[in-house]
Amino acid sequence: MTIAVRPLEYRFSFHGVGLRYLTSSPTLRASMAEWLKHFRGDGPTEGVSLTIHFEEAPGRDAVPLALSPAARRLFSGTKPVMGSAMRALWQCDILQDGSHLVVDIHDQGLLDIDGAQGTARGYFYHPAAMHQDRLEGFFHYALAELLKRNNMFTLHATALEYHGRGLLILGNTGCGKTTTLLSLLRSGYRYLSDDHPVLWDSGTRLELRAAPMKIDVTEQTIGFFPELRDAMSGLLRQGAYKKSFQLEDIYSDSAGRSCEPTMILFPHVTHMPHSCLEPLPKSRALELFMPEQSLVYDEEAAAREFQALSKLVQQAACYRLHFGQDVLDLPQLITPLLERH
Amino acid sequence: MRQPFSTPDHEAEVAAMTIQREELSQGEDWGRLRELVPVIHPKVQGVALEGETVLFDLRTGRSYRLNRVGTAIWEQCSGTATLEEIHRSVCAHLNLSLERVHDHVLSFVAQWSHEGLLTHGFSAKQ
Repeated sequence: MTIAVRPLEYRFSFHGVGLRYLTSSPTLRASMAEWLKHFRGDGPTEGVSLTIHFEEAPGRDAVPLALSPAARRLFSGTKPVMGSAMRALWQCDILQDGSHLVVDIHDQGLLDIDGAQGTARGYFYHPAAMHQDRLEGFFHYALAELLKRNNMFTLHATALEYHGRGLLILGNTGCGKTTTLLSLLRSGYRYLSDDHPVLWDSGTRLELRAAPMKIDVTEQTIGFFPELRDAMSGLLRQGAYKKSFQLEDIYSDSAGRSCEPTMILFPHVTHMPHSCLEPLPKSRALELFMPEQSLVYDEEAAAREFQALSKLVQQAACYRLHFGQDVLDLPQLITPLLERH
Repeated sequence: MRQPFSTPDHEAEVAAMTIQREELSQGEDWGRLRELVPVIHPKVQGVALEGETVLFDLRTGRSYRLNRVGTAIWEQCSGTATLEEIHRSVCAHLNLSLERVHDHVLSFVAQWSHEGLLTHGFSAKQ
């Protein structure tokens, strides 16, 4: 039994929500430090406090979690981990036990998320052998589940801000999200997130909030942008599947914080010479926003999330982006339309 | 339509309330079914967007998109109108013939019943 009894505690504020991260594992501390640094000293909290506690454990037998007979299996199979570099599938069982959501990642670990209490415990059997992207993915998964109770919904999208207007880019890997993001960053847009910005629904208005993370790029994307092609050695790091860089290392002073969502793009690659935009029916936009396999374990939170997404597509202009080869000219296509809305 | 996973509880509930598509599509059943009153299941959320509707079933996490005809029928499934009244109302609303809409009404209602989106409240209107 190696679960530490006195973990180190790190306190952060995630857009006003207090967040405590506890761990006694140097590996688990290091894996989250890069992401959490964006939120250190983020201002006062609103009294709500969430706790994520990750520890190493030698195996399932050492995890202090006993499921009740009432526990029911919600899912069994493979799921992608959150995070753009994590397209590989991971085997898991997901169970609901009262207010707990238990994610059993078999030989890698287990997550125990208690939405009602605002706590998540993670136990990892060999974290030093796991890629940092994967550990970060589990952290984001736990945080996303906890934030739902605070009307903050994580979107699988890229998000930018332009003079107070929020732009979301939604789509699967390979559809051009990150390439569009970089093209717009060079044109005065500010970065909110490459893969999971947060939509906050106050009840009377929506706000798109930053969730900064490293930006993953393919070799093809790097080839479009001279600042990436010619980046100093060490700025682009090899990840599990793609290279990545920190925003501030290449595009300094480009970090945004929050804004009102104004436009949503749904790109797909056409290989045509020129890109173009086509209005997308809002019902189709909402359908594309809905997770393919929503895991509903808290019906009230799921209902609120559906309402927030409905408001989002009603409020924002929705376009299909037929993504051509004129990557560097995208701002001329998108910005005038964004300014009009 | 998405391929979801569903819990055994939900599957049993759906099986109990389902009016089979075959049953609904047989012409002789219309006489019996025309007086039935479909009711949207309380666990199903819906939002109308530009004449179409997106549904979300809180029990299964499944989402559905309805076209204009489906939307017009869905909006009538409030527990106050019989299938026959819905049929006539949708024809008038969309300016379509009774014959053309008849199959749509049967098909949509059978499918929604099969998916558990309508409650077992296919009860005769008093």
